[in-house]
Amino acid sequence: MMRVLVVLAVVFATLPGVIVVLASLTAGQSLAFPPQGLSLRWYEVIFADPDFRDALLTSLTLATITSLLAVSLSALAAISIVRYRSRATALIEAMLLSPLAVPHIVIGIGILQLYGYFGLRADLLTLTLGHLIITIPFALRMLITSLAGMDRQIEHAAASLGATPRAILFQVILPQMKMGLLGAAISVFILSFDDVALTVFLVQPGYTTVPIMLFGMAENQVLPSIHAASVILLLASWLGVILIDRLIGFDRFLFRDGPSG
Amino acid sequence: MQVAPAIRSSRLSRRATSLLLLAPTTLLYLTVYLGGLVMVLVMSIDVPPGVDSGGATLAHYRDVFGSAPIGAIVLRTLRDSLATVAGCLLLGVPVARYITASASRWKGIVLMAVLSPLMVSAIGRIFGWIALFGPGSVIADGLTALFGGKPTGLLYTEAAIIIGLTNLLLPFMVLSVASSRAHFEEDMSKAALSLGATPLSVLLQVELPLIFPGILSGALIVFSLSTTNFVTAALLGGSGRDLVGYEIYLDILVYFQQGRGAALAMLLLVVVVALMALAIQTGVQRHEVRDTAARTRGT
Amino acid sequence: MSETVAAGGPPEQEAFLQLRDVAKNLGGNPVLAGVSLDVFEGDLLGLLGPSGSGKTTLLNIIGGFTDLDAGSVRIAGQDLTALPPHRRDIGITFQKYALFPHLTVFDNIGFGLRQRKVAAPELRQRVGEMLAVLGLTGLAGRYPRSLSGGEQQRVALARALAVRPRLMLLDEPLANLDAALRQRVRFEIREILRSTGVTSIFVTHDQDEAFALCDRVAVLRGGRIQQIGTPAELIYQPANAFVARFIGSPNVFEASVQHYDAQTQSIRFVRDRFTGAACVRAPLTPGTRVEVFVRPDEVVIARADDVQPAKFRVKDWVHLVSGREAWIEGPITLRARLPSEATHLERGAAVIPSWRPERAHAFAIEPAPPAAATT
Repeated sequence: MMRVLVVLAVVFATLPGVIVVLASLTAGQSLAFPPQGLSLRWYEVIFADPDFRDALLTSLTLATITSLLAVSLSALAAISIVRYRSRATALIEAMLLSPLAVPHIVIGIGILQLYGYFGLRADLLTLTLGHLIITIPFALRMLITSLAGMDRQIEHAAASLGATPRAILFQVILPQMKMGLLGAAISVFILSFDDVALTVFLVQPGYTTVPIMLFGMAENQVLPSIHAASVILLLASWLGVILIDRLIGFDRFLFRDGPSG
Repeated sequence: MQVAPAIRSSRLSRRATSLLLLAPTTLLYLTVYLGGLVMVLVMSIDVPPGVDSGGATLAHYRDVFGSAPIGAIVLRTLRDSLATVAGCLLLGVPVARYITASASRWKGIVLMAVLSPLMVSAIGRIFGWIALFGPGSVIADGLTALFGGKPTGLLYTEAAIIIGLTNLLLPFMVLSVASSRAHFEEDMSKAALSLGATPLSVLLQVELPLIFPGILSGALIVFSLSTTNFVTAALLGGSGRDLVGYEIYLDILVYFQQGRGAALAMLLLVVVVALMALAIQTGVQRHEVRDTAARTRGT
Repeated sequence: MSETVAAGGPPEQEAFLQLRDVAKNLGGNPVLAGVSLDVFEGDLLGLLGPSGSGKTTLLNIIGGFTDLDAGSVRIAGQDLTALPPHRRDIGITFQKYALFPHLTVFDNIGFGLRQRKVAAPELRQRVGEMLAVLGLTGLAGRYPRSLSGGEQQRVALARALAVRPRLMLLDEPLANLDAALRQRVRFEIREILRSTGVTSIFVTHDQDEAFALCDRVAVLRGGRIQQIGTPAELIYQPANAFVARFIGSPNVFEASVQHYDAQTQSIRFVRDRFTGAACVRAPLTPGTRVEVFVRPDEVVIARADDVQPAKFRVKDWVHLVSGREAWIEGPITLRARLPSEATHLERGAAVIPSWRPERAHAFAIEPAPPAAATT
């Protein structure tokens, strides 16, 4: 009975991804599964679309910049929170982690209204600021876990050997956090690259991301090129998962350093 | 108590360093994040244009509570979210047990298959369901063959929403239950068996009490995430089957009922934050709390 | 494949627990390669072996958690092979205790009685007895996590004993206690098991523990029983080089056989012009390479004189609680235990070591056996 449910869960969890890949390879005009014949024509169609190419470029740039910034800011914050614990840092930690519990739709509406109030338009800066709000909590939580699990005596040993606080940070602490930083960077990239719930409130016609384009297309366009675009999103995240698995080990990532509920 | 000046200044500099490291992120959060949340609050009590009365109003909240369509949406949200929780429990608890107990070589594959969707594009996967449920698909044809009627398939039904949400949120349940199962050791089940407990009573009397906090917090997390989700409802449910999250999205971006949308968003925020706080609370093992209490009392 | 090892118990009595040719492969490796073992009623048997020797697997097979590939397990004549663990009536204590963290001490101890549907008054009385016997009375309402290691250990013992099992298996019960506590708990456990009279198997990798607790000890290695016997038998008549080494003979050296004396079953050996005597278990031809084992307390040291030229010198010595131990260097290095009043052996003194031939054991060096499977 339990075994049956486990098999069912595996099929259920992997099914939609597999279906969308197969459906994107159809030679026909229909979105439906099973595909009619095999071809790559819908990939040609989607890549020929200048709007899609723009959106893809925007998504990639946004995710890269968000990832670099979120991980750098989270690393600084994590070091401060773990190494200089005080009432003030505890309060700030609670604020920085709170978007994990706050619905992204509410955050999105708030930022939309705020930007509107100050007359800010959708561009790389405004989108990046929004994405930082929802990705920093994930990166911060991972880095706090990885820092808290570190042996402080190693730092004391470094200090006793004459290392300045700056040298300890760059030559002792950060190198030990390498895997945590890498894992956080990959997850932030994927979160940012895939986000709809927040981004849908921040984009404007002419400046959009791939997921938002897909979200909009679902209502008007009924061509399998939408599947081809979905597969590009899926491939990016699968690549991220594989990278994490190879570099850190996926289970370790989830249960020791990762978002574990 | 005298503190040497050197120590005091080093404390001050430590404190300054720590706040300096936190400053950029804190500033960003205070302005964009908290500033935004305040804006939602303001929107929700803002006087609608054209009405000439004081500075603030509760009209939007009255609007939410008095509206029959909203009532129906809330009910549908509760129903679908509970069904999603049930689906996640049914599949998630066996998977969590399997990946924490089994020494099988399939363990890694099961873990990867069920938990990787946590990171795999949610919207990309929704299109998989659209292909599978939509008109002309195997499921649509199968349903027509079985029950007759129009070949529209499962797409734009509540069932589609529940399936999509369960698929999206299953990893959260698995993670929560698997984490709580770290308190359970295989030797405990051996101990119980050696004491004469049947495999069923081992499950009910030993394992279930230990993983129950994980089940409860998993359920709370899945429930709150499904009430706030709108992408799944929008793409698989469509109009007429909207859930609270989708209704807020429509109010803000489509219907331009900013006040009502913001009021609904504030209410959702309060409920979800309360549920999430409860989830974190229940994630802590009950007996640990009792234990600490017993120890401090010195019993 | 199997080697039935002579058990030391009374031969006219039928063994209470009988293992016959028990074999188990895990992942293609033989973890148990034909183990036969008799344990008599009321016995306290030690199962001693290094990690990977198969002792945990053997425990799991007796407990019913692991299926065996071949052989049989019988208790009081009843074949256990097809009996599920919860019907075997075998008490087990686990290395990390495996107490139920969500139950109080009282409910942990009462767990087995509840499974047996023992009525509440009797249950209270029997748990109360166990609490009293193990000195846990004040802790009945506490949860395991708030107990010290020694207290957890006693709760685990009480939980297993409360159902009055017909056999007790104790898996490294002292491994998670600190050294000071270990000494005390060791004797507590022995007393409690003695007073209940339950037949017990005590698994450990530490020979001191096995010797202190058990009447008889079975030495396990690479899935095979090497020897079963009383502690004295294992010390003074080791069956093979592994047992001699494992039971703690720090003096080991290689030599070659000079002469075999069939009457005394002993050899004279030579090593770099140093000759000595040792007993053997089988005839050996001159020239055979042997390993010689001799315990430090068997080595006698005499000052060298003109008649016997010195081959050894005292390199160093240390004080021990029980006396002194000298390191002497010559063709080989030896440790020798001396009475603490023996003050005449200053560093650098020329000495001659000797021992009674029956106290040294020589075993022919065989090609290394295949690496022991790990569990």
